[in-house]
Amino acid sequence: MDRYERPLYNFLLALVRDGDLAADCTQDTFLRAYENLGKGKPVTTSWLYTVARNRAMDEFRRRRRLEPTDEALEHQFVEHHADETFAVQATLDQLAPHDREVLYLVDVAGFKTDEIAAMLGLQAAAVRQRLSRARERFRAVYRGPA
Amino acid sequence: MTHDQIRDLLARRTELTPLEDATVQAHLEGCPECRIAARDYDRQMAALRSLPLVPPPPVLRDRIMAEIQRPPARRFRMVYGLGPLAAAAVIALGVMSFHHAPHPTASSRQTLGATHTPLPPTARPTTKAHVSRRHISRHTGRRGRSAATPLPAVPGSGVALGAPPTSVPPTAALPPAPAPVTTVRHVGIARTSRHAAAPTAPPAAGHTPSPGSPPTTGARPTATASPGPAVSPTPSRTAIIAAPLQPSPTPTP
Repeated sequence: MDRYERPLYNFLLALVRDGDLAADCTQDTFLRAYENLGKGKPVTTSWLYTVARNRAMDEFRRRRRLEPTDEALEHQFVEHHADETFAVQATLDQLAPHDREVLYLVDVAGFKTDEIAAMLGLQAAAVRQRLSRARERFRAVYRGPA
Repeated sequence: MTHDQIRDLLARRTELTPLEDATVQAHLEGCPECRIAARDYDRQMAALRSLPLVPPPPVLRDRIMAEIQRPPARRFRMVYGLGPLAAAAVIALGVMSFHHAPHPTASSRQTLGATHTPLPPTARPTTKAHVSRRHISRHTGRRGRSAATPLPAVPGSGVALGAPPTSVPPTAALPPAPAPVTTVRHVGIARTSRHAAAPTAPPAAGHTPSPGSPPTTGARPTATASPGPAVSPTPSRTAIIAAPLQPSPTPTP
């Protein structure tokens, strides 16, 4: 848990953009992991991200809350405010969840597109296309420091 | 390669094969537009990688550990404990509706089969005449309630064979029937009178249709033709049982 708590929480935060919701999803993910471990089933990094991602998607469906609240964002990121960080976060906020998801999994979590395809249940070509489009959308919005 | 193909490769530049990388480099040397895109992608990747990881709330670990140390039966009590309760409630409702609703009898069907009521001109022309109820029941297997037709006050009667209009066979092939035989148009009245055509087909005395009842096709018959207070139709037991058992999507990795 020491190793994965923060990355999973940040992945979920990038998806749901709500600190409390991300914490709930992280908790559920670890509980599922402990359940699996208790049954003798393996728990891998991909498995953890898949469960976390599915949990977040479940929340999206349940709450129909695709856009975050300003209070949650301000609460989460004000202490890390810096020009570059703020610009990246502001850009991510304007992207769709599936764009944020693939960008985070590739650039932050460091997964390959094949691994992401296995996680999301997609073809690798579909993930690559999604990544390419997400990069273009990010590029269209991002105004980083010169 | 086209620009779009190069962009696709640039988007996953960290996992390119040597051949793909060489192709990209060759293209970038002659394409300033894609060079700008490559530079932007590189900045984008660096910016995302440099994102600081937000520390989770300190209470999160305590919550997780508390949940883990809690026995599973208590941990998932709310999830799994409601299942048997819901099942028991559904069974109880089903039994109650079964006992409170009168059952159609063979005599009642025969009585209905011997009656005939002239149709008002506003009745929905779902079918032609001359289809016996027995014929309908063979095709549909459903039973309904005749709410608009005045039925003789025979004890146990009042049960009509209901069938959706779409399930009635083509009328051209149906032979004409003698006058006393109850027709499918009778069924059409029963269905329409429960919905839109209720004002045009006045109910008989002691046989009040309930417009507020759910329009469940094939609902169990609940009203009788005997004089007395109107009995509102009960939703079918199938609908009652099926309602709480709708599956909810759960993540399954």
